Amino acid sequence: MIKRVVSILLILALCTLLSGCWNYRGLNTMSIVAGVAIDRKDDQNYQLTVEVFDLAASGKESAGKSQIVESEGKTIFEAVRNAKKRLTKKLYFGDIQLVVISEQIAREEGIQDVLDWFMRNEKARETLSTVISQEKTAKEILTASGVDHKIISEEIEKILDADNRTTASTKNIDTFKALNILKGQKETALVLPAVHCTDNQGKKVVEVNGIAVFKADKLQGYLSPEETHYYLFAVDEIKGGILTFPFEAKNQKNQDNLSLEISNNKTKKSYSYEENRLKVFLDIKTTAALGEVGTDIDVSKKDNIEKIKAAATEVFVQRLEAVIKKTQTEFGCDVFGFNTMIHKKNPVLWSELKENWNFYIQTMEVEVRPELVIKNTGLMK
Amino acid sequence: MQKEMISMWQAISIIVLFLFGSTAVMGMNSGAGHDSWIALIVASLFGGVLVLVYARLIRLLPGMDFYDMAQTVFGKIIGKIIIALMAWYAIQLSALVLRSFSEFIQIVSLMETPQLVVMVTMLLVTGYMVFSGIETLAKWVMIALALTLGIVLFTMIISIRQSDFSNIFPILEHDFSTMGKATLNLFVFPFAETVIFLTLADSIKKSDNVYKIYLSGIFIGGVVLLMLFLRNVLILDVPMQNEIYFPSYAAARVASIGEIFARIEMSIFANFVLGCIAKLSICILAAVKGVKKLFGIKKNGRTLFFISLLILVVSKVQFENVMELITFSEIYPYYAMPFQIAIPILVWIGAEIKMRKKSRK
Repeated sequence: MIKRVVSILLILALCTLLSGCWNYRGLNTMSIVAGVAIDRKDDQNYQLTVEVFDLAASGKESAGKSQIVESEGKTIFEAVRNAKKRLTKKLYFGDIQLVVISEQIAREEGIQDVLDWFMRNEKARETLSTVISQEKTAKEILTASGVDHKIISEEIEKILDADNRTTASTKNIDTFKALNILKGQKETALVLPAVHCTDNQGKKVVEVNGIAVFKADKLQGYLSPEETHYYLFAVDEIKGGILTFPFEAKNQKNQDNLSLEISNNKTKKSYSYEENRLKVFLDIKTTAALGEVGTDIDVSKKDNIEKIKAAATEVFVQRLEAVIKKTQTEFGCDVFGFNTMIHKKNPVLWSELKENWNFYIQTMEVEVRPELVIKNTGLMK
Repeated sequence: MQKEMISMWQAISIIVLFLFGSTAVMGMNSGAGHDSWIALIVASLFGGVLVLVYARLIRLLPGMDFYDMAQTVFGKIIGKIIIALMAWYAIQLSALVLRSFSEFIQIVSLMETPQLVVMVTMLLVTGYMVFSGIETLAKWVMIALALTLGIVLFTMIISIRQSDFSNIFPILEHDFSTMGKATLNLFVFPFAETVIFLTLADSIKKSDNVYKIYLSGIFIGGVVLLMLFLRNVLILDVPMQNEIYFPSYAAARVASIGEIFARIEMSIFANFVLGCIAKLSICILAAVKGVKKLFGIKKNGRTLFFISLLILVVSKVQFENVMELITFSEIYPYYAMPFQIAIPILVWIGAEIKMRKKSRK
């Protein structure tokens, strides 16, 4: 009997004592970080702007507010710690979703060193998004007001997440994959989403604006949202979006007046290598719905659909080839990741071409072979 | 004390969980990048060949553990030297496992807990396990293995969405010498470490087919490790996999399905704890047995206590920081091979000769 009592007491005591930890960190002593903006203040220091979830202000009515904390330091880690000099709570990076890097840092220093701390830190997620700010500083992005979200980092992250299904104007990439490209596939040019501020009813709001193209880890230039749209076709990452194109009937100004809503796309890449010249074939199969017909034409007739398809395909090929040409001449680096195609299929050939890869990219020919299927035209003829 | 026996499936589970033990989280960075899976398969084949030697040894001298075998074959003096060497290897292995476990815990989550506390807690658990004997250990291992494999399956299913299947291509890109070195690394850690199991050979029933036990263990363990490695490489891709100390953990952090099945890295923790307890318990059991045979001690408890203390000290002293641990794992193959291959083969050859002599009489 006594044995039983003692053993039950022991079990209770052990459960209480052993299930604890060495110490604890209460939620009210942590500031949960949503996003960070990194600028260079002067030659020695970085300036960090941290967006923190404001737990005190958010309650039943408001969806969640955020506070902005600024700090400086000689390195990113030091700047993060220095924030404690003006905060009661310590910054907690477990939920961080966004890092904004200013254009200046991206052009002059490169982003690899800046991102190192985020990857090395055991709290920050590897899947956070990194964006480049096209404004003068990265801070302006985080201090703008959001349209439907008060917390800018979350808003940007959610916009980026849904982007390739809705507008296909930028490319979202997990930061660890970005670092994979920087450290491993050195021949691929890294692309990161670019963000800028625009005016919305007098307030400054944040908008994603195409992609930023890098050479190694330094920023080289940008592709506009429309160019990014075609870029995404080439790398097979389109899952939605709108293609507009002009259709001849009654169209003197050659405006885009028809809209195709892409529901599905598959791009197959293949290549041929002869006599020191590289030729890449892109077989693009798109399924789309005709969403807007800005001209007077009966789209239930098969001939008209065929005409529309032909016009759309022609314009598409033109624009895609223009974008490819632009990347070849202006950036001269492998933005589309064609090197992985050769590397994975034919490593022997790849080891020959590797050293002069940029030359091959600049002289490569790309043949686009599109196939468009229009599945419906909405509710009307 | 009645002799403790374990059934065939218990023995197989012990081998599988032992193989899984610390490899799963430390990751299989073998220097062959995305071709490591080929190195893994080849290493497990070599492992299969090696365990044939072990199993043959157990067949030749049934009912004896490795220490008794050494003494039977080589006589008392050389036998005792061999016992001392193998017991030392068991202690060293325990210290390695214990150290990597506590480093993992400290780096990844409990940064402020002193490593000593983690190590002592672990040793208390494994000490109790060893004290309860091998039968209890075997029963526990079966449950732990079921849990572990369940978690592995779970993480693999969740990782499907994030996997990029082209990460394994191009296949066999690396040249022969890199693949050879990688195979050696993977062979020594973890497959050839099953030599420790030889010291528990007296608990295997004579009616069981030892070959089947060992080969099934290696096969199942190899398959599980292969699946794990594929999961890691398909999610992380090679550059990150090489740079991160604990690839399985990083892979689990990335894997997610929607918002609900995200942040599953704690399950990797559970796996590591279970695997470590199993591996440590077996190594400590081997060490305690060896020391008992060496000095002719009958009592269990005190030896266990002192061996645990010794392991604690070795654990703390052998490396100053994690980087040295990683550097050591590069020379580990050369250090471990005498224990894993040379000594068992010597004893095996000696046993074969002795058996021939006997049958001639």
